[in-house]
Amino acid sequence: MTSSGVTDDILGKLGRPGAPYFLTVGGLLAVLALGLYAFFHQVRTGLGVAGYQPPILWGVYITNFVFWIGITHSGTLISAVLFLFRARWRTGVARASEAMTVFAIMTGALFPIIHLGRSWLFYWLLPIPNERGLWVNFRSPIIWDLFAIMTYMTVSIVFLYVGLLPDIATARDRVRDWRRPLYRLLALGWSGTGRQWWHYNSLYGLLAALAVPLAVSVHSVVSWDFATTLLPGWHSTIFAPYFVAGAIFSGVAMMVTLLVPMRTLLGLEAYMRVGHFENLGKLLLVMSLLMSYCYAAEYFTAWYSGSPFELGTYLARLTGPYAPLAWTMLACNSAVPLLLFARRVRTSLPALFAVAVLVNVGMWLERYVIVVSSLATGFDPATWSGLYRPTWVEGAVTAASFALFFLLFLVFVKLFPPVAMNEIREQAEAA
Amino acid sequence: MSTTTLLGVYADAQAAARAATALRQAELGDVETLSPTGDHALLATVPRPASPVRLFTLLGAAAGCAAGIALPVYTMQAWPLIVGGKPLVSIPPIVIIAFELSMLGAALGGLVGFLALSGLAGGRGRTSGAAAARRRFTDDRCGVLVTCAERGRAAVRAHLERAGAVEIDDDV
Repeated sequence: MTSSGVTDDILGKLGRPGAPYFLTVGGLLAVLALGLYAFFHQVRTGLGVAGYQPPILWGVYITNFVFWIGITHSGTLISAVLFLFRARWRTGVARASEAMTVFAIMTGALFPIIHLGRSWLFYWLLPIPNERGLWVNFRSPIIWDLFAIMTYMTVSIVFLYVGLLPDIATARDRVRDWRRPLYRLLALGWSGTGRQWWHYNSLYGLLAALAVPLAVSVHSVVSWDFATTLLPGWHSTIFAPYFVAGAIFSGVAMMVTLLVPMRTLLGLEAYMRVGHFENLGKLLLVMSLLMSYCYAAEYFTAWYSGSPFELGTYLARLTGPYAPLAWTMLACNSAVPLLLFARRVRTSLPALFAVAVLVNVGMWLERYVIVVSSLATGFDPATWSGLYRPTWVEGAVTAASFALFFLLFLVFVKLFPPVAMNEIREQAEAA
Repeated sequence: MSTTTLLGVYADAQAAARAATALRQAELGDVETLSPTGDHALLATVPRPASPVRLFTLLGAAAGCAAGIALPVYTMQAWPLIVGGKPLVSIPPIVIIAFELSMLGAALGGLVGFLALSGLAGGRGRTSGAAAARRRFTDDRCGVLVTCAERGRAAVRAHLERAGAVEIDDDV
């Protein structure tokens, strides 16, 4: 395909959406509205409408927070790593993955606020001068989280925007409808001079190099929310790498979950080839094996250390009231991905999609099991209460978070080129 | 000495690279390229040192690191609350905050440097952007822009034509 053909083809995808698109957006808006209703019901009534009961005072909201922050990891990280290694196949998947990161982090960052009893006071988390001379406690990992997540969100947005800049300029010069003023504003007068490309290439490489350690740090910090406590099931030195691996695993699964339908619905078969998905399938398999190793190491340490508290927590996970969730998690994260050893599964998009969806389910359950089952069986058996049951409010807010994420993604792929047009054109010219 | 600017439009990057190389060797004026992609061969025709964006990134990182140390140290002392048996000024949290703010400062510093050095800040790039847009340099055409002395116009034009320009504009 010629350079101009690539431009026509990709910008053509941004045309007026059809009825299925509007139906999907309508459905997502309805779910979002229900979630907003549930959230305002919680704000009006109090956090008691969530299913918390001592000692389980972190539940679905914190599960969602860890899950969504995990999802952010593959987008910017994989795009940056593939860029640094000059992997040509990144062009098909990088843009959508970077967008996925930005929307997932926006969604995830809402949950600590939703989880607060008084959400309207969320700005108390920020170190801002106030008349009482109070400051946030910098020795708390919760504050580390705030800094890590805000930094990662900012860097991910900058990385996405800088990557988009030449494509926005192309859209500005080709599109003739209501979107043109938007593109003109965002393109900042980009004209593709050698001087601009010279600085652009320098910045993009630097951002990619910054994104990699940053991504690793973010989920390490999230893991320390748990690991720096003394609670059995959380207090573990393996947590930081374990969380980072889990985040990449769930992020790749979400990439596949988004990219497979997007490829078909937007007709991007020429840019997102089966080979790209096979590579993602291989990555998913490797990360699954790594996760299985982490699970094994976690259980082995608990068993061989002889600590009755550790052992008790892990046995309760496998045999207690949360056992069905723990076993489903292990099946989804460790057993199902083994199917990816078969090339036929890796190269079959419906099969790969099914595996990815199950991994998403498994990773959400993993976060749930870590958060809830550990709290349920602390040091003092006298505090062990009944089963934590999430309420409809938590369910509606969780569903709304998925709706918000998919909605933002759907709007993005209709407003901006869903694949890196300038990189594809460069490859087309070089071929 | 009066100067003029000529713009050669090319169907592909190789032709534009040939024109830019020839013009630079002939030393007829200042040469700048325009292209829809970061084509390395074309960009290499106008040698440039390492981009100063790196310096902005470094300065941003240093500023972020300083803020990441100063903010926790100041606030820990301003509100002296012992928590979890940790020292008042505890090093590990400072390292984490300093790292995160270094990364933030580096990214924002790099972005500011890029926008300022590329002429994209404050709308300075808009004029050239509008001119370039007419030539589709963001789509499928490449360009070579030459600013030269008026008396060198004919020679520049000849070089642009020889490299296969599909169109040449005078006095851009």
